[in-house]
Amino acid sequence: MAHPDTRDIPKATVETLHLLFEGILTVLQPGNLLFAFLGCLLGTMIGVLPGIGPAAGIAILIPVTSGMDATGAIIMLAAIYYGVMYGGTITSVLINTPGEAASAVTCLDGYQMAKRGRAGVALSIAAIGSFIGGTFATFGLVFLALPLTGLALAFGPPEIFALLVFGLSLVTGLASKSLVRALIAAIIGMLIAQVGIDPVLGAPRFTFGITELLDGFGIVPVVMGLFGIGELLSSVEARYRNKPTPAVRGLLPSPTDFRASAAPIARGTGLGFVLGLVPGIGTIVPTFLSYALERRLSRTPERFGQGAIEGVAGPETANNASAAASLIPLFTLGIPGSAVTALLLGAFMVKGLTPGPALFVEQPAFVWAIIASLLVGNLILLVLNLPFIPVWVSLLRVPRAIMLSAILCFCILGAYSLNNSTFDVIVMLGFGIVGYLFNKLDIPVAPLVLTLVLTPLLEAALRQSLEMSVGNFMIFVNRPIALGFIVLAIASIALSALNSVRHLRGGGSEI
Amino acid sequence: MRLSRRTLLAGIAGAALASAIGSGPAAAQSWPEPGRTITAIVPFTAGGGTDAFARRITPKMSEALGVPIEVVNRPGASSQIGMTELANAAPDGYTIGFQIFPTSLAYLDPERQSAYTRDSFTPIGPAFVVESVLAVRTDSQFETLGQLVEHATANPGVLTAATPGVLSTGHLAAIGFEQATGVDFALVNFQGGGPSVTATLGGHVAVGFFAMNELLPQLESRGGQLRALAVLSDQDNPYEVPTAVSQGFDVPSYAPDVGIVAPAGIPAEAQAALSEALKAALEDPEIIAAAADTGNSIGWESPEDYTARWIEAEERYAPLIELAKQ
Repeated sequence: MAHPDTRDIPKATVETLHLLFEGILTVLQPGNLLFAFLGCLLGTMIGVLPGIGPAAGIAILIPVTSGMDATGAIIMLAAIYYGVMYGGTITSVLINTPGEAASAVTCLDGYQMAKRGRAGVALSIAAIGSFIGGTFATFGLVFLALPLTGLALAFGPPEIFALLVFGLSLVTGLASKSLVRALIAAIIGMLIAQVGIDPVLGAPRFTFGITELLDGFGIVPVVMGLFGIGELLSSVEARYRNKPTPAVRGLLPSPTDFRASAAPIARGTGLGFVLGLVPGIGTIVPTFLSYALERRLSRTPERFGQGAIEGVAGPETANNASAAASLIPLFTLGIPGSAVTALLLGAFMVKGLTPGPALFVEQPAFVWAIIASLLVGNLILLVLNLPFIPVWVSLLRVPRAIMLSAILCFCILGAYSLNNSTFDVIVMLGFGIVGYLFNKLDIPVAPLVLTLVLTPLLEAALRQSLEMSVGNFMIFVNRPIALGFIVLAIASIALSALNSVRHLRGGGSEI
Repeated sequence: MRLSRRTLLAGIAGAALASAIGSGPAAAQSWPEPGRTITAIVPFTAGGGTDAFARRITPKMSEALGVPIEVVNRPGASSQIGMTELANAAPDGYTIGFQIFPTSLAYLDPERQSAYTRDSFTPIGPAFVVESVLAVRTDSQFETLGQLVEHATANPGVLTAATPGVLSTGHLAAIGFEQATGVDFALVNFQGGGPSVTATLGGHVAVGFFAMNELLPQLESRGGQLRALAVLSDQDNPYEVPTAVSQGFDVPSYAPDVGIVAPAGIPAEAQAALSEALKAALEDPEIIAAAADTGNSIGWESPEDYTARWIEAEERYAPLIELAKQ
C-alpha cells in the first residue's frame, strides 16, 4: 500500500513548517483574521448561553458562512467551536450551570472557587489551560497527523470498550468522601442511560410509550438540571442562612496557582489529545477523566470539590486538546469523531472539499490555513477572554433575587431551544430536583453524569466486540491495547479498594 | 435547533450578521414562509454516505426554496430513532427527513414496535441510489471475490464482516450474499457507515459491506486503504469495480435507495414546493457532477412515482427482513 504522497508529509518537517507558515500568512490576512475573531466572539456568546453547545452553535451559524470563501468559512466555524468550548466554562464557574456539557465537570471546583471569591482565577486558569491544550494539540495535528491516524484506527470496538471500562473505574475519583455514595450515583446514571431505543437491535427500553424517551434522556438537559437548577434550589434555601457573598480576591492566578496548575495542564493536554483521536468518544469523557485523574494523583484529594484549582485546570485543558485532536481523523480519513467535526465535514463538502486521505495532497493551502487558524484562534481567544474576566466576575455582584430569576430563565430558554420541546424543559426541571436531593443527601452528581455519557458507548462497543468474537470474551484479553486498559482498570479498582480499607481502619471516613 | 434559537442568536449576533443570515432569494410562493428554517433529519451518523449526500443536496434545495435547511443527525437503531422523530414532527413541511430502502422498511418487522408505517409519511421524492460494495483492507490476503468465498466456505463462521447496522442495506446485502454463495460470516453490526468504514480500515474486521459513496474516498485507486472486491449489482459502474455476477457469483442487486419524506398530512403546497426544490437540486449540474464523483446515481421522480417505488421495495425486502431476524 504505497501512497508516497501522503506518507511523505510527516517526514518532511521542513516542508511542513513551510506549509504551516504559509497557512499562518493566509490566516493573518485581514479578512480571515476578522472571521477568526468574529467566530471566537460568537462562539463565546453561544457558550455562555446554557444549553446551546458547540454542535448547535455551529449548525446555527453555518448559513452565515454560506457566502464566504471556503477558507474564511471554515476558519470562522473552527473559531466558533473553540469559542463555545471556552464560553461554556464561564457559566460553570459563575453560576454552576454548564454552558455546554463538556464544561459540566468544571462546576465541581470552578463554582466552589467562585464561592470563595476566586472566580477570576478560575476563569483565567481555564483560559490559559485551554490555550495551552489547544495549541499543543494543534502542533500534534501538524507534525503527527498521519502517524496518529494509525493510532486512531487501532481502536476497534474491543479497545474502545476496555478504554471505557478504565474510564468507569476512575469513577471513584469523582467521589467526594464516600465511595458508596459515588457508586450509587454512578449506577443511577447507568440505569438512566438504559432508557431509549436499544442501540444494536432497535427495541425500545423503559420508554413507557413516551415517544420523547425513544432517544433517551438528553445529556444537556440532565446536566443543566443536576448542576444549575439543583444549585439554584439549594441557594434559595441558603438565603435564609444569611451567608454573605465573598469579596472577590484577585483576578489573576498567583504563582502558587500556576505551580499547582502546571502538571494538571500538561496531563490534561496529553489525555485530551489521545482521547480526542479515538473516534466517537466526544469531548465530555476526557474532561471527566482528567478530573478523576487529577483527584487520584493529588496528595490532597480532599480539596477537590472545595475549590481546587487543579480540578479546573486539568479538565478545561483536556477539553480543548481533545477538540483539536478530533480534527485529525476528520482531516486524514474524512471520518468525523463527533457531532461538531461532522458539521465541519458538512461545511467542507458544501465548499466542494472532500476530507480524506487525498485532502492533504490535493488541497494543501486550504488544509494548512485551517490548521494555522486553530493556532491563531487559540491566541485570539486568550486575548479576547482575559480582559473580559473582570466583567464576568462583576456579574456575581448582581443582587441574588435578580440573578436567580435570570438563571432560571436562561436555563429554561436553553433547554427549550435544544429541540423546541417542552419535554427537555421538564427533564431539566426534574433532574434539578434530583440534583437538589443529591445535594441534601450528600451524593455527588458527577458520577451520574459520567456513567450517563459512558454507558451507551460502552454498550455498543461491548456488543460489537462480542459479535466480532462470536461471543468469546477472550477478545478483551487477546488484544494488547484492550488488555492494557483492562489491567489499568483492575489496578485502579484495586487501589481505590485498598484506600477505602485504609480509611476504614483509620476510622477517618465513612465508606 | 429551529426557529427560536436562530431568533435568539440573530439578536445577539447583532444587526450586521442578522442581515447576512436572512439572505437568499425572496420566496414568492406561500410556502415556505420567509425566515423559517427547514430541519432535515438524517437518521444516521454524520460522515456516512446518506449524511454526506444529504449535506450536498440540501443547500441546493434551500436555494430553490429561499429558506435555510438545517441537517440534523438522529442516528441509532438503524434509522428508527430518526424516522420516529420525523413521523412525530409537526406536519407543516418544516421538518423533512431522509430515508433509505430497505433500512427504513424495518417497520415491516412487528418486533421492532415501530411507531410508524408508510402511511405515517408524505412522500417527497427519491434522492439517490448507491451500489453495495464488498471491500477488504489493501493488505488483505483476498485479491478477488473468488478467494474470499473459497476461504469463507472452508472456515464457516470465522471471517468477520462489518455492516453499518442491523437491517441496514449492508446487513441485508450481507445476508443475501451469504444465502447466494453459501458462506457464513460473523456479522458485526456498527452504528452507521462511518464507524464500519473506520473498523475495516483499522483491520478489526476481515471484510465490510459498504455503500459505494461511503467507500469511494477510501478506495485504493483514490489513495485510500481499502480494496473493493465486488459490486453487488447487475450493472457496471464507473469506478471499475467488477460486479459479483461477472466473477461468477449470482448475487442479487442490493442498492440502498435514499429518498426524502415528510410527516403525513403536510399541506399540499408544501409537498409540491419540496418536490420542486428536490427536482431543482437533482438537476443542478454541480449535484450531477458530485453524484458521479461520490458514487451516487440520481434521478428525480414525482411523489406518486416514489410511492410506487416504496411499495415495490416493501414487497422485495419483506422476505429478507424475515431472514435477518434469524
